[in-house]
Order: sequence, then C-alpha cells, then structure tokens
Amino acid sequence: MKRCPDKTEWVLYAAEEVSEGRRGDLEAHLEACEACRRDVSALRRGLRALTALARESPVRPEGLEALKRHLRVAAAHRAARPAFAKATADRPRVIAAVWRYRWVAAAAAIVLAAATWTLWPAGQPVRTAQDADLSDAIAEITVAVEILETDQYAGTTPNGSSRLEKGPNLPAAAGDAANGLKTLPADLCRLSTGRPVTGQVNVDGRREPCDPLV
Amino acid sequence: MTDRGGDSEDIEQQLVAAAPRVYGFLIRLVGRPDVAEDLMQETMLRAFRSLETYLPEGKFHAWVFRIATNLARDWIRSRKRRPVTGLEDDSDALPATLRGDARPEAGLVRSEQAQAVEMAVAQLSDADREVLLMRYYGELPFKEIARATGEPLGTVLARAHRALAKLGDLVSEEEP
Repeated sequence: MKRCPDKTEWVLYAAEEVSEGRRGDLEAHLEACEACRRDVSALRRGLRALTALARESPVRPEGLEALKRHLRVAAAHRAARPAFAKATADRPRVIAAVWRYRWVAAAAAIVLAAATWTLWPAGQPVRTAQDADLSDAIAEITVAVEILETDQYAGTTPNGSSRLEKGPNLPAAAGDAANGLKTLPADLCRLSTGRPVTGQVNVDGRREPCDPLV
Repeated sequence: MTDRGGDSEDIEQQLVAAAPRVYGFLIRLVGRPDVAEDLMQETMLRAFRSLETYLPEGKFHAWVFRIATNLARDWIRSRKRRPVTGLEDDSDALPATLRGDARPEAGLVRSEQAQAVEMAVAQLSDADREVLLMRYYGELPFKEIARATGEPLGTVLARAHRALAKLGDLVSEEEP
C-alpha cells in the first residue's frame, strides 16, 4: 500500500473539492486503507452535522429597518457624488498627460531663473509688475488728493487763477519766490490720511507732487 | 445572492436579503447577538460603499463574507486585548442557545442535535470555528477561504480537518 495522503487532502475529498484525476487516486487508496476510511467518514459526518445549524438567523425588525435606513443614506451620498467620482477617475489621465512634459517644464524654469538672476541689476530690489502698478496707482491718487487739498487752502478758482495771498486762514508761506515756488508748511500739506508731507506750490496755485515726511 | 453587479437599488436588495445569513454567521462567530447585529450592519455598509471603487475578485457573496470575517476578527482581537476586570458578566459571550434564553422564533433552536452541534461549534477555537462557519454560511470553497483570511491553504485545511473531526465524533456519539 502506498503511503497515506496528507490528512488535509481528505478534507478536500470529503468536501468534493478535488480534481477528477486526483479523486480516482484517493479512492483507490481508500479501498485499501481502513484508517483513512475512518478519517474520511468522520469528516463527512462533521460536514453533515453542520447542516443542523440554521442557515439563516432572523434579524430583529428594528435592526433590519436600521440597515435599510443606513443603506438608503449611503445610496443618497453615492448619488450625490457622480461629478466628484468622474473627476477623480479622470485625474490620473490628466496627471499622466502633464507628467510627459515634466523635464521640459523643469528645464524652462531653470533657464528662466538663471536669466532673471543674470540680467537683474545688482542692488535693485526685486519688484513684481503687480507691485509697480499698485505703487503707481497709489502715487497718482496721493497727488490728486494733495492737489485738491492745496487748491482748497489756496482758494484757487476754477479757471486756474491764484487766490493764494487772499486765503483767509493762510499762514505765512516760506518759499523761494524767485523761482516762482512756495514751500508750504507741513500743516498745510497733509494728506487726507492726516500724514504730513512737504511740498511746494507754484504761485498760480498748482501743486507739485509732495514727498512724505515720514 | 447573485454575482456582483446591478444598480444601487439592486445591490441594496441583495444586501438586505443576505442579512439573516450574515447575521447567523456572525452570531456564531462572536457569540453575542448585539455585537453580531452591529457587525452585520457594518459589513453591509462597507460592502455597499466599497462597490463604488472596488471590483471584488470572484463572487460578491464571498466578498461580503470576507468583510464580515475581517470585522469579526477585529472585534475578537480587541476583546482579547481588553483587560479583564472581574466585574464583567461574560455570559453574553456564549451563543444564545447555550445560555438557555434563545428565542425559538430566532431559528437558533431546532432540535437536540442542533443544540449539540451549536455547543460543539461554540467550543472550537476561534480560528477553527471561523473556517467551518465560512464554509457553511459563506458556501466558500477552502481555496476561497484561504484567500479571504490570508492564511495558507494548508493551514486552513488543517483547521477544517480538526474542526470537522470533532464534529464528526460528536455526531457518532449522538447517533444510536
């Protein structure tokens, strides 16, 4: 008699999970081996015994209702997310398309950085175009406000003629009359924010741009 | 339960229909009706949610039992880790049939033999019981059980052999 097959193989045999070819070999062995026959018989009884267990156990009605409710909520969530799911599904394709050009993008970034570094004047603070535009806009507004305030103090008429000397509250203005300019005192030349500035005004009342005193 | 597929409503119906069997499996695995019900609900929800992104290998049915088994394993593991206070009433850890308070309408008590089998199954080690119950309730072939549990096929078969032999001996003693 050949050596007995491994006991685990008898489990597959009893559960009818062995191939047809192997089944023949095992059956041939069983005919000659009492010990293996007993083993297989016990396994079959064990499998049969299991069938005594109820295949289904009723769930409490409350539990079943809760399950249905939870599944409905999950289904609602699922239905609300098709766009997100599609975007998520598309994402790998977008990344793959961009990823193909990663070296080109990296090289371009390096060249751009090197060119900026080389061409930028030494000691010049780096200002972005956006910063420059913003500063220009602020300067224009500042000048416009100062001109308006100065005109109000100087009593400039709408037609541009000067009433500087006739202003009722005009303090003595220090300045260079020779070149046609007067330096205004600080309290006359304040921005609308209250910040004092120095400045000069033409004799006809037109203000030159002021520099902040800060 | 059919093989995977269908729209949400179809899947919901399949899961609800499978609930009593999954519950029967879990109650015998963890031994507590309240825990089994919670785990069953969690199993079904996970199965439903995962269907959006995960295409289960093989049968939908096997896949649901795989989730249930993993959840039960986690629960059993956490229970073993929990320190014993000495104040806990652990009688709930036995299957309802063994505590003597089984509801006949729950289908847990059918005959003396069924009760004896319930007791024998309850006395198996967790690992052996898991294999037998997956085979019976999940109707999974042993190869599928090995895949679901992540154990080598030889280990699964050795457990099945041990458990079935015990049950077989029990039946032979019961039989006249």
